Amino acid sequence: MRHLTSLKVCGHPTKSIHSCSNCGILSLEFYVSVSDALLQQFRHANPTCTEEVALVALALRASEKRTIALVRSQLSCGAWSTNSGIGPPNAFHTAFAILALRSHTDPALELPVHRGLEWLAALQPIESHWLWKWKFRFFDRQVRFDPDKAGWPWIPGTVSWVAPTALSMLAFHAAKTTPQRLDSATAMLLDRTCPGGGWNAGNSVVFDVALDPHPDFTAMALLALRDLVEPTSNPIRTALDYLRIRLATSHSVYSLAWGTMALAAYQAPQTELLRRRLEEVAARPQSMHLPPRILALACLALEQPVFTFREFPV
Amino acid sequence: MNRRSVLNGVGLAATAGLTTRALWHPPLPRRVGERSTVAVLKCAKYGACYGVVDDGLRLIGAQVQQKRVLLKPNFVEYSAKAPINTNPVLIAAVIDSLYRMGASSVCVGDGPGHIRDTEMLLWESGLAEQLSTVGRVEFVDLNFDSVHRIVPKGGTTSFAELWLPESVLSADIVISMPKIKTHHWAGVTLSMKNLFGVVPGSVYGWPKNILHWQGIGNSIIELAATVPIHYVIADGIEAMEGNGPLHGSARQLGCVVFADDPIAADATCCRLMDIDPLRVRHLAMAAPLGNLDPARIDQRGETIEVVRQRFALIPQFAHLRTMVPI
Repeated sequence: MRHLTSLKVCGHPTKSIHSCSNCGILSLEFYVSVSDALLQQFRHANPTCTEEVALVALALRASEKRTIALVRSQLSCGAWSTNSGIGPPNAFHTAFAILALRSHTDPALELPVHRGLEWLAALQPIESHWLWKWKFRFFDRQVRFDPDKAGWPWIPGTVSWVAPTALSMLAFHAAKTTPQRLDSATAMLLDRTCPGGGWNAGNSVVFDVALDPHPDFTAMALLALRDLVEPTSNPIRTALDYLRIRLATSHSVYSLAWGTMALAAYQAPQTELLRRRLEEVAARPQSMHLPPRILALACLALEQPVFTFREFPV
Repeated sequence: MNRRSVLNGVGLAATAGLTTRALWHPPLPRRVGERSTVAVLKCAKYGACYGVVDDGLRLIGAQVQQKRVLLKPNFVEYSAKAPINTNPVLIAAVIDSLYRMGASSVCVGDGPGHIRDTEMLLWESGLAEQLSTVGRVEFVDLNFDSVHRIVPKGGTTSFAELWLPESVLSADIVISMPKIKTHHWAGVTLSMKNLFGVVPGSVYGWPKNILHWQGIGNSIIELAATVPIHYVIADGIEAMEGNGPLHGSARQLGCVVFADDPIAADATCCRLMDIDPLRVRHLAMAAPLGNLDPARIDQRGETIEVVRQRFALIPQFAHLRTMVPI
């Protein structure tokens, strides 16, 4: 159980498979059950996605094999795509790979991290070009957004979206580097807030209709903005409220994991409730058949203290 | 000839060249014969759709014996207020019917364009429960499926390659199961637009913005020319009008449309919504892929006139309306 060495797990004897009745901390048995399922899945599955490899590498911090796999799958441009040689270079996958590599202190990983960050820094969304800015400002106005505020696109040749922007910001933060675009990306995320609070993929109002937020994108944006926006400000407060209400009865391990990490990052009092809900849903037999990337997220959210994408060595 | 006229000439030639390049594309590969079959069957509520599905598949002569079938419904996101997705009861009825017709396996696959949490969508929409009830079926999240590189066959976009899910490429039979809806970017979203859901988010992101940058109509045709749709079962029991695909209003069209040709199916669905299919840009452009002309469609079940309703359209698409009064 190499992966448990870096985790703080409750040692109290308990009959519950979920959490310790004495201190409420996640029980060793439960964590082991989720982790075993994760390992089992990963042994049998053929991981095809950088996000998945990176999340599993993050969840199993000491896994050198996964780290080597990530370094090998880096593209010559410095980016990562969904998998080596598959699809265009992708900011979201690149950010996840950097986060996974940054969880290690091995000096040999500094170069691939640096190259990844350089690629991210150079990747501009299409709306940062004056011609497209002009188009969005004066003609193409059905989707409400400010083209002056640029974050990161998923892939080259497209506009900024919430998930790649948030993950890129987290990657730069993990590497203790401040990108030139940080202020613009922060403003872009705030500009894309849904009118009722929270975030979706990045379209808050289309054809004058307010669109609904989604838990995962909301959590990613909250994690990215943690040290950049006042926690009591309206966008943060309404987003946290949205997560708390939306996920209270959720059956999704994936969204509950993201939500738990976001609430924990703000030390929201409802974090524990959400974590317990995650434990409850993740303990269902069918959850053990979820893909490794979701089980890895669950493991990260069930760590004690909860992983918040800030736990990287200096 | 002075310098100004030379520059004007060069400018004109460049513009003409770029316009030609943008508009020209190689002939689309035809997938169907000279005639197509479409069946429009009345069905007032989802609880009654089991028998209707049996009849519909029989009327279009669906051949699925010993075939691996992929059902591609339209799952966008869940709302208790709006009929956004293909109804799970109809999907369950189709699975049941396909197995009784001898299909060797049936799987349901989709890659929602707006959300990454397919687990939540399956649960909240009721699809997970229906799949569990009907049994013998797996759901494949096409956003995260293994992918293979494909050279697009339509030539209507600048894609040199497309990465598409293995589950779609390896299926013997692909059945597109759209919800009949109007759409604020494309005019209508039917069996061909439904193919946006086979483009994997893990490769291209959420939403699949790269398709929008190629032009939605161009991308629809590119996908329709590249990914074969063998049959269509369109959910028109409760359809959507106005500001679809998410925020339109429910419209009780009360029918299910079956077809062996996506062009004929989409054209028929347009006619049922009182929309002229030739005015829907992507449908008019895609016409060579199948049979759009009613004279080439063998109509079974109800006639269009019996079922047709005047769907509300947003002002940007008011020009799609047929001029013939209902």
